Amino acid sequence: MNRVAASDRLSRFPFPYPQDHYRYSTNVEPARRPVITEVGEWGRWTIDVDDEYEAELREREEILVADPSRCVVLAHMRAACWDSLLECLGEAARANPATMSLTREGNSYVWSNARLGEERRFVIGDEDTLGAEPLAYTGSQVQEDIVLLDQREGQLWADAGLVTFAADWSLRFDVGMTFLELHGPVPRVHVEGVIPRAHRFLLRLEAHHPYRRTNWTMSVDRRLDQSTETYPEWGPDRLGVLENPELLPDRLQLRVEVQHLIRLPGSGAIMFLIRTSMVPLRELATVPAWRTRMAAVLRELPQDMVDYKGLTHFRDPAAAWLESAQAAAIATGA
Amino acid sequence: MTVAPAQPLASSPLAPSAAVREGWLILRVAGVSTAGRVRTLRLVSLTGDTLPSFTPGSHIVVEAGGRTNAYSLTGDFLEPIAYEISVLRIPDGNGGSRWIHDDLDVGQELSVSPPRSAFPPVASAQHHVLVAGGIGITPILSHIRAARLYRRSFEVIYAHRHDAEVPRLRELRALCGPDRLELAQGRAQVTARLRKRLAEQPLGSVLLICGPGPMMEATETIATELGWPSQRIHTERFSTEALDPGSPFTVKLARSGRQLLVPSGVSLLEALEAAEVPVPNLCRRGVCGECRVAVKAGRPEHRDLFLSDEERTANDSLMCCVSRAHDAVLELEL
Amino acid sequence: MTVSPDHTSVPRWPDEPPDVDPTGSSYLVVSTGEAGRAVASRWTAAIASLAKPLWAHHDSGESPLALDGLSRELAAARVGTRVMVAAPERDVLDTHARLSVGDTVACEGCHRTLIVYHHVSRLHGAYLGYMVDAEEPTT
Repeated sequence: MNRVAASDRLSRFPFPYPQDHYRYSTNVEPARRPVITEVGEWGRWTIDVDDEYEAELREREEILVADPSRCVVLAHMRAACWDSLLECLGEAARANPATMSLTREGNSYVWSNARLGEERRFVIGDEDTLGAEPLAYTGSQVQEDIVLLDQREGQLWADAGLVTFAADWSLRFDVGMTFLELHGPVPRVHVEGVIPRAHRFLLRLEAHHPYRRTNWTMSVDRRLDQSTETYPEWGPDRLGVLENPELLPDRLQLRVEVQHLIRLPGSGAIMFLIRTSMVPLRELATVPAWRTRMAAVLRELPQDMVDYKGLTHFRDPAAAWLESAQAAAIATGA
Repeated sequence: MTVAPAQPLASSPLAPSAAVREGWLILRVAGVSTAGRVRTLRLVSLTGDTLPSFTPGSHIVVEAGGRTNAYSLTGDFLEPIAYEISVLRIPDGNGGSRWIHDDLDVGQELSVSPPRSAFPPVASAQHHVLVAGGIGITPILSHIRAARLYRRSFEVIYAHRHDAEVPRLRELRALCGPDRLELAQGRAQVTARLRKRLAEQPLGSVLLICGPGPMMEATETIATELGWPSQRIHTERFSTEALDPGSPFTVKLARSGRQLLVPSGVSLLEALEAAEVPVPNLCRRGVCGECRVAVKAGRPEHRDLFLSDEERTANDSLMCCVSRAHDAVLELEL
Repeated sequence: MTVSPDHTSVPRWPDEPPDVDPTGSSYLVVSTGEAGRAVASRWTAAIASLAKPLWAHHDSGESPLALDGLSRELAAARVGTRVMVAAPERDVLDTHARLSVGDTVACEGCHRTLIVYHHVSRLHGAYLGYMVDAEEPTT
């Protein structure tokens, strides 16, 4: 499915590897700093609206109709959901002033979204004026997945979220877990201190100082919904993609999440925004620095991380293809 | 890949100004009212913009008469037009409150920190029992506003002395209504009220206490005797230590032999960067551990949240983005 | 295996029954099965010597627990109450089968084979199971 010109997608792509090898780290950095890449730029705002906006929001709606459990809000998270609405719509407006605006008129807010033909006047705390539960409404206006964590008793509890584009996890199962429990199954990150440090960092996060980090894996085909719930649908493709080697570089995607970590002032909750981007290997390989680095990262990645990220079946074929693309480019003097 | 410096939001009052400490705001005193020993100030932005939202229970640090004092924010907390504080005149304190009472006037400008949250509401609580003593009512006022907005169950027990005025009483009555406010005068009456009410709270209630030290301790003791777990008891604690610009000190770089001065108000990391000594760093807030530097001599003043107690006592490393020195000279392995 | 069991959400129960916390203002004690009964009776004896209010309920554990009584008590309980439970994990989590991490079981709904994973939800009282053979060749 090639809805968007390849060059636009590539120019905004958040290439995730700072080095030729990759390990888990507490790689948080201040947000709202543009990252200049070899082919473009990303990261100027905490909300990213791109040319896939309308299509991805339609896809999200379909997923939610088929499975409403992708949006969960424990009762005490009402305040956080309203906070998250203000924060996300406000940032979307700042990032897209030509098409979106959020203005305050006394007790009400007016949200205007020309991309969707949406105009809404609402009062904080009054769901009737919004016409929807606030987290669901936010999810209908931004492409990011959203997880809200309540901070209490020295822990962070994932007590609300709207996640339709999960990379191999289930919000519905994980809701109510602490940050530490959520990351229980991830190899290495506890004993190496990565998760405890991230946890301490989040506990101290202050409002109006957003941070971000990136995470990555690989997907077969441009399938956004890679949740545990639908694993029987996409799991077999991990092996199936090898059946036709010629299609491998078009079907295999580097999938990157830009995660923003934001303290919501009114409620004190922590908001995780997860923005998923994918680029097929063939397209990625048009950037020389990216094709050599990704090949090196894949080759060097320890087996437990390969397995946890779901790359077991195609780590070697993907690296081999990238190396062959590199060799071909050298041969032709590209 | 290069990361550009952070872009402050164009219309944000947090856009830094050269004369102000980093992140601090210059606000104008728009209104003053005095009732007995309590003076209430309304502070607004110089441009008429709304001020940053804050978590209820937050405080700001005010530079007043050459001192820095912390005062709880009592007003609306979502993008408010003004910050509101009530200051008790302490005749034999450090002079800050005297200056606010005796020397400050409408129209004057004040330098204030961004809001800091150290006493937030508990979203998951079944019921909030808010206990205030005297001027301790100030953070409780913003808690009441939050409880009303998010429709949380709450009650207020307000202890005051026989002969003292009761700060903000009229407003309190308006916010609480007759059923949710209990006034108690004098130690015997306060103790009796607390013993009764704290024995009657449904499971899942939380107790928030703010007032003079002895009053808070006495309330905590009563609650504990009635079986309240410590996790359900929250007291207002704010320390201004981390905001103190600190004394200047000299840094000796063992490997290069260079010496640098770290002035007051400038972080060690900033001084090193200014001298073109590269130190890896990420969060710049003392939590991620990235800027850790080995110490050869001199005692660090640890202000970070990363090192363990043992690591702090060892004094063989420090986080240069926030920590300083107890001694006049600190020698680093750089 | 670089996943540390200490860090997963799989519950780790104390090896020895904990002591009664004497600072409670009242107590609810729930137990199932014979071993649970023995632990609960030690607890209730300790609480009796504290002379504090006690509500105790024992269930044989053979059929799904009748928890209406407990719900009522919890709804009426005041801060200061301590709740103590002595029962096999199966009853505490309200799970339906005796399985361990790594076991496989057939899904009652879609009949696929699931593997029990080291990921536990307190909210659902359940372990996570996922299709064990989705990435196996289908020949």
